Amino acid sequence: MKRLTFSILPALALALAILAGCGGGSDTKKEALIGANLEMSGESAEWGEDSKRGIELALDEINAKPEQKIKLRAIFEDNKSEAGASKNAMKKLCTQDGVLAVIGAVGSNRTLAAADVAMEEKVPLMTHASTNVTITKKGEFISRICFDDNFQGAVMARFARRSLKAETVVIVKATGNTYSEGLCESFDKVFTAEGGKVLKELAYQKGAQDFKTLVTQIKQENPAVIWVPGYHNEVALLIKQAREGGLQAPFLGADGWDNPELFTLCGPSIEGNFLANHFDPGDPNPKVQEFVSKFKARFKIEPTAMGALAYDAAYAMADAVNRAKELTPVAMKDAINSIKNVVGVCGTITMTPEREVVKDAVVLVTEKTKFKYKETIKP
Amino acid sequence: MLDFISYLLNGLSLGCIYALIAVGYTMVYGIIKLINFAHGEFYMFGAVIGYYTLVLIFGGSATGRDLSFFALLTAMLFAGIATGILAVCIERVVYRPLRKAGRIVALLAALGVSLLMQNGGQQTFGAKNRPYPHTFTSQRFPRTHIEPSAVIPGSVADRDVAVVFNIPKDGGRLTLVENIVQRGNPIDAPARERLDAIVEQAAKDGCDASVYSYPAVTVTSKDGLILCVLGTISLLLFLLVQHTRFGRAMRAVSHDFDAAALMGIDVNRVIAGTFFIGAFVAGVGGTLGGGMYYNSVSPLMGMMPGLKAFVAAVIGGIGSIPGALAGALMLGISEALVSALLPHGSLYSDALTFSILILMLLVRPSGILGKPASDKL
Repeated sequence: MKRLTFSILPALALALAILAGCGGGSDTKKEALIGANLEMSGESAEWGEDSKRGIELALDEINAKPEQKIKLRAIFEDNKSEAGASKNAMKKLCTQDGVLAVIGAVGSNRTLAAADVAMEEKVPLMTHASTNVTITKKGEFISRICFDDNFQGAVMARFARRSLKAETVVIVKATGNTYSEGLCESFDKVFTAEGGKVLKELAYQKGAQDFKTLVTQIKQENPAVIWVPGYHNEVALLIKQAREGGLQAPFLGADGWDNPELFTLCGPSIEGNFLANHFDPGDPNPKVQEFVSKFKARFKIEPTAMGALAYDAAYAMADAVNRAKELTPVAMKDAINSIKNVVGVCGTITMTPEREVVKDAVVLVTEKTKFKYKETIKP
Repeated sequence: MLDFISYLLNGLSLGCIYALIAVGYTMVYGIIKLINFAHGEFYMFGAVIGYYTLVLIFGGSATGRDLSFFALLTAMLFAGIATGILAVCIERVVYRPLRKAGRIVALLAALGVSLLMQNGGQQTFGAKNRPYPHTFTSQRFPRTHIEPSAVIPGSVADRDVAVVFNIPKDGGRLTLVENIVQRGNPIDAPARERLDAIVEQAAKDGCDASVYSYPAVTVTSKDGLILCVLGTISLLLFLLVQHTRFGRAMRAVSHDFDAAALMGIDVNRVIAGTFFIGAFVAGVGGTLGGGMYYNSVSPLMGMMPGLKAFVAAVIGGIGSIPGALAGALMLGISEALVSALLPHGSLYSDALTFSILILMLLVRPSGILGKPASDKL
């Protein structure tokens, strides 16, 4: 008798499972799993957290729409802000969780590491925020929904020459940071082409805290502006020590500065520096304002560009899911690579044949405690 | 030449921070021949205690008002005492039971304590870099007071000019320094307008505003404070070691552990006292160096300074307090000079530190001021 129960039970379970499966098939509400490979801990944890908020907000909105037949569900994996861990996170999402596509990561070196896995496993990877130029060159499974470093560096070089009328610059690179190195190269090229002069190229090591020697060196050159496309935690200390040391020229940076901690780490001396960004929370566009107020209502903080880009990425994913011929990673790749006119809060997403997008950049200026819109620069 | 002096001064302040950690390394080694790898974590612990003292007792915040000098002093003292007590506890619980087990075992235990504190810190305090509460605004010295009218638009500035002013903030005052023009640059009309606007606003708020000009080489008040603290601590340590009963006991234990015990010296008390003093200095260093100077605190902040201080102690001759001071200052200065004088030199500063260590171990393993190693290893 006992024996019988044991053999019957699995059979029963199997039958139920098949029935349930059929039920799912006839009921049109299917589920699409989307992975998110993000920096939830480590040096870029703030950005990973904000990206997560953006994705959560977007998916709840998308799934609440009655016309959305296929529900989207996100699986978040922490890449610890490290390239190696990002590879592992990507591998887990592709092989164990069986996701259709992955959003992420924030940092370029993490995305580059994940891109290799994406190509091997043939699962599409859409980065919402990594700007290094080489990322999408990895292959057809890799796409990007923000502008790249060539554009970002060019924007600030043009802004420095045309709006600030700067003749000279000192470039400060964060070695060991793929993002910073790429941006220094593109800025250098455009600034020189526009008739400016690069006085000196200096560098600091990732994680540095003491910038006083660097400040003395910059002061010696007496440049009109300083280009320092690093991450906010180092840049904040550099600017603080620069102002303490009597260095007056404005610092210019990029989206790596976009973090509320820039203001607390640096204090009031942050005032009067400029950065390029994907998104301006003060933009009067109603779509942007609606997003900002929803985000604030739910998470009690203002979104950074990372949160806004991740929000757009989730909408782009939903668009691809709805158009995919079948729910497989390969079909998703075709759908992602043919995304057209998805209107987001950071501009419209249309994939070029290179799996890139063409978007405007905004230049923001730092006030004592917040960013303020300065101007928009078109491609 | 002037820049060279600036680089030297930068290196000196960096060296002072290493020195505050290196002193404890060298004292503990001098007495029980233990390289306490958890010493960098004492520096971190001090920074954390200082952080909570400033935030909870004095209501400080990263973007808040200026705190009194008394607040900073209290934070340093609390940090020092708390770190000292922690070190005594660790000595009692971890190192004392292992004292007879051999030096390698104790060394591994020290590494264990270090990892425990780093990861424990990440669990309780969070892994993120936190901004330190603002204590006071760093100012540059020497400086000359000038009248705002001396800043004439159209002329070229031969000295840096800045305006130092207060704004009301959180029921107190916040001092700000606004750079107006940098040496060698023409003074333009907007600079003059900015200056006038600040002076006017300060008068309206009932606050002070003064205009100063600065020579090419200056020292900041933060550098000055660190130098003063290190000087005071060095002097007190000298008096303690050379002119007190406890100091004599320390020297005796350091000279011959067993003989000292036979002469009736309470060896355990001396060792605990040494741990306390070494950790006290590191704790003060954490509040000053990590917190006030670099304005951020995180559980992993002790790692690199700890290693550097260890190198400094070895260069100076591990076991010798003056040696640790000399080694640390030398290391700070050579790091600053290499960063400044080689192209992309800042990338080599860490490599330099450890090259010096290897070179020193090859050429003169006992260090600059250490006694030649006569004991059996």
